[in-house]
Amino acid sequence: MRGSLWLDLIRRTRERLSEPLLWFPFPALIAFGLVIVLRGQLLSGFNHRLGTQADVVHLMATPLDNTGIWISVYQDKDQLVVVTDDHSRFSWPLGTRDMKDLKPFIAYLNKRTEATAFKTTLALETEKNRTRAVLAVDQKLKYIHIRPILFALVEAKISNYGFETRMVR
Amino acid sequence: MTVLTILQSKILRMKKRLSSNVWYLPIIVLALMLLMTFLSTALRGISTPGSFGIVEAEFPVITEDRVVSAAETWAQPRETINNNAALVILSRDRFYFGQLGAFGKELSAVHNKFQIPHVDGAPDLPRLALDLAKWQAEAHASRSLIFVPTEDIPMPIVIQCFAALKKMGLFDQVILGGGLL
Repeated sequence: MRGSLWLDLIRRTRERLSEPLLWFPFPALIAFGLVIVLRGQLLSGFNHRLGTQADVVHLMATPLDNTGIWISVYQDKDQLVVVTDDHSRFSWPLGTRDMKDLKPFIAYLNKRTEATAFKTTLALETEKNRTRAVLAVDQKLKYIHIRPILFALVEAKISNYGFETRMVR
Repeated sequence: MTVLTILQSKILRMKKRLSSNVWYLPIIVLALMLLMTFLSTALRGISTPGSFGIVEAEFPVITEDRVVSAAETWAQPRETINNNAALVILSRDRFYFGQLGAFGKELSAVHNKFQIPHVDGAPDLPRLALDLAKWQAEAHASRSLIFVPTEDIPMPIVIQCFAALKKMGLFDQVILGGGLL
């Protein structure tokens, strides 16, 4: 019985596939997928701001042309979450005063600055904005939450940093 | 042949024409791609709106004993931070400002510090700008300013006050301090 059902299913599928179904939406779905991926909606690598929950302050400021080391900071329950532009993720307790919690983040910053310095040296370029840390800080956070990050930047010998703002028109 | 017959014939022909119309696959795909591009652009516009700016800040960089030329370092020496540097503290209810030395040595003394209460809970930045300008001229304070918010100040206020202090034009160097209090 099961075999005859299976054969019947195959026969019907063969019949269906023998005729072109122009309306069938597969080509359109492929096109849709390509467009979406190429526009950077699903592939978040195109846009580092996607996937983070940081809602930055609305303020007119100097236009941000080169993001450098982009760091998004927001709160998730009792953890402070830091997500970078290459989607590295770090977290530590919200009110931490222990620098040990920040060690992986500091190591990451050191690695990033070294890599950037190496690249700029090889390319014979001098652009300080490449090693600038841009902090996209969520509006719900307080200054006490950001201070450890500033200490981490100092530890990583990053002297230039800034706060990202959303430009209001 | 009556008019009705002609009309019926025309309707019949039109029906036939419309019923035999076959949609060409590439046209469907192309049209859908255009539609999806439009929708995708709209979605992108909603998800990542507007343009972004930056309120720039920096940590003071000190050199070692050896002389470092401007070509060797990013941070070109502009100002030296000493006891004459201005210090602005932002607390929950007011600004305090004065020279750095006044807060470092004689914290309880009131003659060398100034305060500006917030108005309806919001920092009174216009008055701070006016008072800082007057004070800077009288006290011959240096053109470096250290801004220290207390721990419980929300970050949007910190960023806005910091940006406002930079925009005032009274100071060449505005530094966000963290560990003085």
